[in-house]
Amino acid sequence: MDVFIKASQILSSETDLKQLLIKMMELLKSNAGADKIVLILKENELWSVQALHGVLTKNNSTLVKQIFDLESIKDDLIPETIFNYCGRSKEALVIENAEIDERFAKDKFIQTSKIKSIACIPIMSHGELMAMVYLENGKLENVFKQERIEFIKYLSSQFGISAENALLYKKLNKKVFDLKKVQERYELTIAGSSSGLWDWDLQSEKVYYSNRFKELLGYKPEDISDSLDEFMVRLHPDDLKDVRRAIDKHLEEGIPYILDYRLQIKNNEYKWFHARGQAFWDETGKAIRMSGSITDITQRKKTEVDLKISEERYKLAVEGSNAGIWDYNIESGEIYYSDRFNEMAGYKPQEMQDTVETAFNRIHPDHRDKAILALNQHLERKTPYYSIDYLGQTKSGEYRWFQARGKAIWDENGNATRVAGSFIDIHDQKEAGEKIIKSEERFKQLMEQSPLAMELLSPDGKINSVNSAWKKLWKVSDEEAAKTIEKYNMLSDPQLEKLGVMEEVKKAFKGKHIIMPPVKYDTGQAKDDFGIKELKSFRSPWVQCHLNTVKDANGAIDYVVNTYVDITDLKETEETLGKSEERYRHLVEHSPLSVAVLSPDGKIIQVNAAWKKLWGFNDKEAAEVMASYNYFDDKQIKDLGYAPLLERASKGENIIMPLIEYELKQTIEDLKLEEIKSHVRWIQTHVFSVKNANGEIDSIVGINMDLTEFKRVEKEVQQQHNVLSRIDRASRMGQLTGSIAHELNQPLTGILSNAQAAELMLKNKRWDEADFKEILAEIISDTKRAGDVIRNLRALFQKQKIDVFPIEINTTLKEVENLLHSEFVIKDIDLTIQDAPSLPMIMGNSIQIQQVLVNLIMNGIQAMDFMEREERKLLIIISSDANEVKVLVEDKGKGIKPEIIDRIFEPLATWKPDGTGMGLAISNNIIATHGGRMFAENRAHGGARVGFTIPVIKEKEL
Amino acid sequence: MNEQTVFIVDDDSSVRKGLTRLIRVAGFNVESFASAREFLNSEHLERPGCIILDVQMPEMTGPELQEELGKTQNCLPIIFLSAHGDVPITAQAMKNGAVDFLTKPVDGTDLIEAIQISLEKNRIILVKNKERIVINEKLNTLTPREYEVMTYVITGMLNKQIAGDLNISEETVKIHRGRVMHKLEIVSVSELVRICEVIGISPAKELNI
Repeated sequence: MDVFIKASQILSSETDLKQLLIKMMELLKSNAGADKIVLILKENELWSVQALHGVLTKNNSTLVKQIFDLESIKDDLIPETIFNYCGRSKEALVIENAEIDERFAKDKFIQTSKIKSIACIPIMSHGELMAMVYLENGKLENVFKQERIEFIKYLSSQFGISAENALLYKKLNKKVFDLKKVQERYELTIAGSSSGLWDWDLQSEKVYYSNRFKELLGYKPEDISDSLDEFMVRLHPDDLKDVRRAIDKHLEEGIPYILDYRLQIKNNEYKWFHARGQAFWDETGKAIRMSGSITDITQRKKTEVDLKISEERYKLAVEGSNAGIWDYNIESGEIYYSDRFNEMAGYKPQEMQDTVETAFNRIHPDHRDKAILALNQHLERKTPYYSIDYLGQTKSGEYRWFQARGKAIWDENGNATRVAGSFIDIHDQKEAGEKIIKSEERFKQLMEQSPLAMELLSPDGKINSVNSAWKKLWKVSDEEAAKTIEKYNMLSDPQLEKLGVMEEVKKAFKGKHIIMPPVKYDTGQAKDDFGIKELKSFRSPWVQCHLNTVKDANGAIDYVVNTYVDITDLKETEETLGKSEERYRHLVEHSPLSVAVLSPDGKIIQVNAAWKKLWGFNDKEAAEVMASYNYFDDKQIKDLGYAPLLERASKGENIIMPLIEYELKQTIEDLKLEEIKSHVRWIQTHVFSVKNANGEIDSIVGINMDLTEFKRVEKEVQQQHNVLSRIDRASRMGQLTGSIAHELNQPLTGILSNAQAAELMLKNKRWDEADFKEILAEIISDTKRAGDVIRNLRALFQKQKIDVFPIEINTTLKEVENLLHSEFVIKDIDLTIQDAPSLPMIMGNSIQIQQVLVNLIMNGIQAMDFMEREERKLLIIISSDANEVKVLVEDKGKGIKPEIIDRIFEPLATWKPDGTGMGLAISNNIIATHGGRMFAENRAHGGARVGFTIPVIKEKEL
Repeated sequence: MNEQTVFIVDDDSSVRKGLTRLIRVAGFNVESFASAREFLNSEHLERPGCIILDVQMPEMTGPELQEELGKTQNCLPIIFLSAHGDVPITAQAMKNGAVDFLTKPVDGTDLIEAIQISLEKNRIILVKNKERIVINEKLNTLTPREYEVMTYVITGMLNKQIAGDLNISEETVKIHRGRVMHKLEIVSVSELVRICEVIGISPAKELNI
C-alpha cells in the first residue's frame, strides 16, 4: 500500500502542470512496465500530447514533449482504433497481444509497429474525458496485468485531480497577471498627475489649500476656506485617528508623515489620498508650521484591495491544491464557497450557505470531531495546513469522500482572521484504495483460513505474517510466533545453508516458483541460530516448502509466500521402511564380498562395487554385462554340471556352490561382448533367495567369494613351503647374528684376557699358584659358556630329526632367555616371567619349542620398537592345569590389526614391514605337531597376547 | 690418591674379571664397575686415570656415560670396548673424544698401549689444568686497565699505537705494560702471548700489517 500513498502524495503536491506531467511520467515509467508511454490531455476541446516516453522519431532521438493536433496523434503515436475505443467507452482498455486481438489486429498502426501488450486508460473529470494514458510493450505479451492496471488507474485518477488543480492554477495565474498589468498602468497615470498642496500654520491654525488640492476634492478654489476644519470635516471618520497619530508622531518624534486616508469629495463619495508632510521647527524646538501634498490614489487603492482579495484566495487555493474553493471569514462568520464547490456537493452555484456549525454538520459524524480538531490545530498554528480526508454529505444525502485543505491568515496580534482552502472529490480514488485494501484483506483472510501453514516473507527474508496453521505446524503459541517473526530471517538461516537448500531459497527470492526438497527442519536449532529464547514449545517436522512470490505493479517482489506441507508422518513411515532397505543396500554396496542380485528368472538386477572389481569391470561394462547375462543360461556352470544346484537355489534353497575356476572370457564371448576385458577368477558362490511378504521368491542373491588369491598363495605356499621356511630361518639367523657374536665375544674376552694375563705373569716371572688356579677356573667357565651358546644355536638352526622327550617348559624358557639375553639388553626390554612353581612335564622337542618361544618373544620385542625404552615391558606367563601347559607372551605395543587377527597363523600374514609372514605359521605347525594350539589376541589396555598350549603328559604315558 | 687408575665399566663379569687381572698384571691400578650408574655415583671421578668402557650395557650405555662425563668437564680419557663392531657408534664415540675403540675379544698388547696413551693424555691435561689455575691467579691481580693494555700488547702493536688507540700517553702504556709483566712474572712478550693462548684470551684486535 505504501506505493499508493507515495504516488498520490507525489501527484497531489504538484500544482504546476509541467512538473505534474514530469512526475506522472516518472511514476508510469517505473511502475507500468511499458516501453512506450504517451500522455495526452484535452484542453479547450483540443487534444495535445503532453508527455512522451520511449517514442523514436525519424532521426532516432527520443521525443520528450511535443504538441500535436489530433490527426498526427493518431498517425504517429497511438493506434487510432484504440484512441477511438477509449474515447467512446471512457473505460480502460487492456490488450494482451494486439497482433492476435481480433478487434484491433487490423489497425494499421498495430500491424506496422508489431506491438504486443497495450493498455489505454482514460482520465475523467466530472464525467468528461480530460486525458488519456497510453501504454504499450512491443516485446512482451500480457504485461499489463490486472493489479498493474489497477495501480495505473489509481495513478490516473490522482493525476486527473491534480491536473485539474494545475489548470485552475494556470487560469488564476493569468488573472493575477492581468491585475498586475492594471496596477502598472495606474502607476504610470499617477506619475503623470500633479498633487494637491497644503501648508498648515500651527499657531494660527490656518491652512493653505492649493487650487489643485481643492480641485482634487471636486471644488472650485473659492469653495474652500483656509480653515483646518475644511480638512477635518471631510476626513473619513475611520482615518481620523490614524491622521492624528501620524501628525503627533511626526511633530514629537520626527517620524516621516506619510499615510493614506480618505476624504469626502463634493459628491459625498470618499476618495483615497496619499499624503506626505513635513513640519518646521523654530530655534526653541517648537513646531511652527507643517506642509505637504496629497495625491489621489483611489484607483490604486481599489486595485490593491481587489488584488489582495484575489491574491489571498489564489494563494490559499494554490496552497490547498484545490478544486472547489472555500473561504471562511472568522470575524464575520461568513463562509464563501466557490461555484465548483457547490457543484461538487451537488448544489447550484451559491446555493450553499453555511455558518461554521452548519458547515461541520455536512461532515459525516464519524469524521466530524477529527475535522474540528484538525481545524483548531491549524488555527493554533500547530499544523502548517488544515488537511483532512472525510466523508461529506452531498445535497442528495449520500456521503462522498472529499479532501479538504486550507490555510489560515493571522492578523498582527496572532488571531486567525480567515481560513481558506480547497476541496477535492477523492471518492473514486478512495474507493480504488479501499478495493485494494479489501483484496489484500481477503488474501490475508484466505491465508489465515488455509489448512496449510503459510508465511509471508518480505524480500529481505524477514517474516511479515503467518497464519494459524503455521503456528500449529511449529506448535508455537501466538506469543512465540510473534517472537519468531521478529527475529527470524529466512535468507540468513544457517540451517537452510546446512540442509543445502539455501540456493533454492535465494532463487525463490529472485522470483522463481520453487518447490523445495523435503527437509527435517530443526526448530531447536533455529531457536539457537536466531536467539529466539522465548521459543519454548516447538516441534521439528519434516516439511516441504513451496515458495511463491507476489510482485507489485512495478514487477518488483512485494513478498514471498512460503507454504509448508507437513510430511513428517510420511517421512517417518518412509524412514522406518527405508532404513532397513537403506541399510541393506549400503551393506551390499560396501560389502567386500562381490554380490549380484538376480531376478527369479536369472537376470542381474543389482551388483555391488566388489562385484565390478572382482571381474575388473567399469560401470559401463558392468551395465552391458548386466543387460545381457542370465545366470541360468551360464554355459560354464552348466558344463561343470552345476545346473541342478542353481535350480535348487532358485527354488529357495541355500546353496554353496563348489569352488570353480571361472573363465569370464568365455562368458563374455558367449554374450558377444568381446571388447570387454575379463579376468579368470577362482570363485566360490553362495546362492540364496530372498522372499517377499507372500513367501514368493523376490530375488536371488549370489555372493562370490574370490579365492583366486588364496588359490595362488596356496599353490605358492605348497611349492615354496620349504624354501620359505629356510628363508625365515636364515633371516632369523641374520637378525640374531649380532646377538650371537655378542654372546660369544663376552666369554672370549674373558678367556683371552685371562690367558694373556697368565702370559704376562710368566714373562714377568711374578705369579703364584692361586693366581693360575683362578685364571684357569675362569677360562674353563668362559669356555663352557661359549660352548653353550654354540650348542643352542646349532639346535635352533639346524634341521634335526624330531625326537620328542619329556621336557619341562621352564627349563626351555630359561635357555631361550639366555639365548636372547643380548636382545633384551640392546632393546632395553623389561622382561618379567611369571612361572608356576611346579609344572607338569610335556612331551616335546625342546629345540622346536625354543624356536616357537624365540619367535613369540622376538615378535613381542619388535612390536615395542617404536616405544620409549622405559615403557618396553614384556611379560611371559606360564601356567598349567590338569590337561595342558599354557605359555603367554604379552607385549605393550600397538596390538595386532583387527583385520588380520583371524589369519595371523596363516602363511604370509604379517603386520611387520619387513616380516616374511612365516614365523607364526611355522610356530603354529610346530605346536600343532605337539598336539597343542596357538592363539593370539589383543589386550584390553594395549598390546598383543600370543601364546600356545601343549598337552601335559598323563600319568600312564610316563 | 694421585696415582693413576684404570677404571673398567662393563656389565659382563667374565669380561670384568679377565680384564682386571690382565691390566693389574701389566702394572696398573685397576678398579671395575658393573654399570655406568655405579661408576657415575662413585667418588672416583676426580681421580687421575682412564676408563675402559663397554658399549652395550643395560640402563646406561657406554656412549651415554661418555656424554654424561662430557658435561662435567671430566678429564678421564675413554677407551671403548665393544662386542659389536658397530661403525656409527664407533664414529660418534671417537668424535666425542674417545682415545680408542677396541673390539672384544681384545688383544692385551693393543689394550695396554691404549691404556698408556690414555694415561699420558690424562697427565698432560692435569698439568695444563694446574698451570691454568696458577696463571688465572696471577691474572686476577691485574687492574681492568692493565688487562686491557695486555690484550693490546699481544696484538703486537707498538706502545705508540696502543696509546693512540686507548687515547692515553705512550708513557702510561709503558707503565701499564711493565706492571703486567711484573705481575705475571714474565719478561718477554712471547711468554705473554703463550699464557694468553693457554687461558684463551684473544687479542684486542686483528692487526693489519
